[in-house]
Amino acid sequence: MGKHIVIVDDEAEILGFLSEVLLSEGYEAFAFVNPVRALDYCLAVPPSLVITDLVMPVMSGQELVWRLRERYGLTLPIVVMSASLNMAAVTSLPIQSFVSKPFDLDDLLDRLHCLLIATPEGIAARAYSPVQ
Amino acid sequence: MPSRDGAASLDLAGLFERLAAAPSLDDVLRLLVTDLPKVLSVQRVVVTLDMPPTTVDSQEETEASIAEQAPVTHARVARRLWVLPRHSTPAPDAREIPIEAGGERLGTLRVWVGADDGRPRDIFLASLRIACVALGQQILLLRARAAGSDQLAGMTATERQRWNEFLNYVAHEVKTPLTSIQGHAQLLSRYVRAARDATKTKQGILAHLLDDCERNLPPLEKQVARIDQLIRDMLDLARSDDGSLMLTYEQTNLASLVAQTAQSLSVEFSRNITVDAPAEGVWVACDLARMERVLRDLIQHVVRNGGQERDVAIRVAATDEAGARYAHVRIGYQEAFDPGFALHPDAAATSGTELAASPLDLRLALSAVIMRLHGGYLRYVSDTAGNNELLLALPRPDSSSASAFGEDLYGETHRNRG
Repeated sequence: MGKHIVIVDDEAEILGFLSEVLLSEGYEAFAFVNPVRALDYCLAVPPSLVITDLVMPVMSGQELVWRLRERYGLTLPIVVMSASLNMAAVTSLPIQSFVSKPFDLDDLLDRLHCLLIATPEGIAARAYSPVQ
Repeated sequence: MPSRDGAASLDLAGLFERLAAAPSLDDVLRLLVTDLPKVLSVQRVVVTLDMPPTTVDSQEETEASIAEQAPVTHARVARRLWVLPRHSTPAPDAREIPIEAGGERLGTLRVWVGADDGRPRDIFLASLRIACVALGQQILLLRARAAGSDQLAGMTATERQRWNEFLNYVAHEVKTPLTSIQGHAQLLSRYVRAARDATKTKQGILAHLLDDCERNLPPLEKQVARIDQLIRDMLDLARSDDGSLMLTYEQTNLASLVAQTAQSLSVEFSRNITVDAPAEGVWVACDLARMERVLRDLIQHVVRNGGQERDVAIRVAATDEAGARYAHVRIGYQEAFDPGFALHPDAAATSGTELAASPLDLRLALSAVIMRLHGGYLRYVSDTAGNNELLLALPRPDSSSASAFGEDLYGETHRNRG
């Protein structure tokens, strides 16, 4: 079974191409437009990695990150992607990586690969220095 | 003749008087970091200020709104005072001096002084400890003033917040569709590559289709990248207007940066670009990523406007004129360098045209703004023969501060990354 990646973005088209490229790379991709549903899913089925947008209706990406951290601690790799200029909102988050929209797909895949092969201890350590 | 220590103590008295009367937080910092080493003849100093942005920025903003001046940013403080950015690696044997007030730890100055500075080194460190007490008091005073002027400052802060929210909204709304376009284009590129690898066919409809895709996708991706950069430029310009554009300064060898940029563009445009620069380099403090961008834009401007046959020449020099220390980069054509192109900002107005905020194109406008934010300038001359020449000037640190960034201390840490 491939690595199980959850993607959260309120833009369905962005979810579309991300899911497609992740599937083509052999990952299992689960895409959610609604962050609340994504959280419910993640609490029920532990993901290998989560990619989330920040600015979303119903629940912000920040809240989603904190709720996931409450449940899984620092070992769950979380990547934030955002078009926001508010970097303070990103640097204060315990995340492993950040990509600024628009982003390069190969660059994103490299980051995911590194995070998914790292040890849980290595993952947790990286969460203290979020913006890579 | 007074002893070295005696002279220092006399000057120190004057310095502490000025510290007590310093009108602003960054004046206090300037006195500590630049004037104090001079008074004591300390040759090599590196100071890293580790203070939460909320402590420094909010105080300076408040102070600025009270004085109705443009806000002084943390980055500006860093440049003017030669305080390294907060996230810089402190020297391994740096002394830590706490900045405290009212029982609260406000920040830390990490200080490294050259071991060969002897007695002045001890006096400098002791003086700095005393001066940090003054700094703490200064911050308390500013906080008290801020509390008393909440209503006055509130209007400006609200307006600024609205403006920043608007910019953030624009960035989000424009970048989101761009993300989708770029993502789909890149996905399509991957499929085309995979199909090309899978098929042996060199002819037929499929082969033509793959050829068409391979030919048309790269321009699409290139133009998306161009729009993305355009958005970034426009946001930078907008933020420079309201003083919220933050620069991250680091010690940079401008000569090396120019050479690297020129080499890259020479390959990209298949043009001969020569760089004449002093072997020892020309060191400045600048926002490296933005300076690289400025250099690329300026060199490209000259390449594109000079005709296909002309070689581009670049000269990098450290100059001292009328008491001002500058690093100059002149970009033009070897045979047509204007000998009368003034190097000093005051004199330059007669022979060069200072680029305003809305000159020839957006990139040059942004370059001019970035240079001004660095405390430098950008000038432009052209003639009817198609000669155009750009002059970029950046202030250089004084000699004592410059030596503090010597390669022996930080090695690669603060050298050009490019």
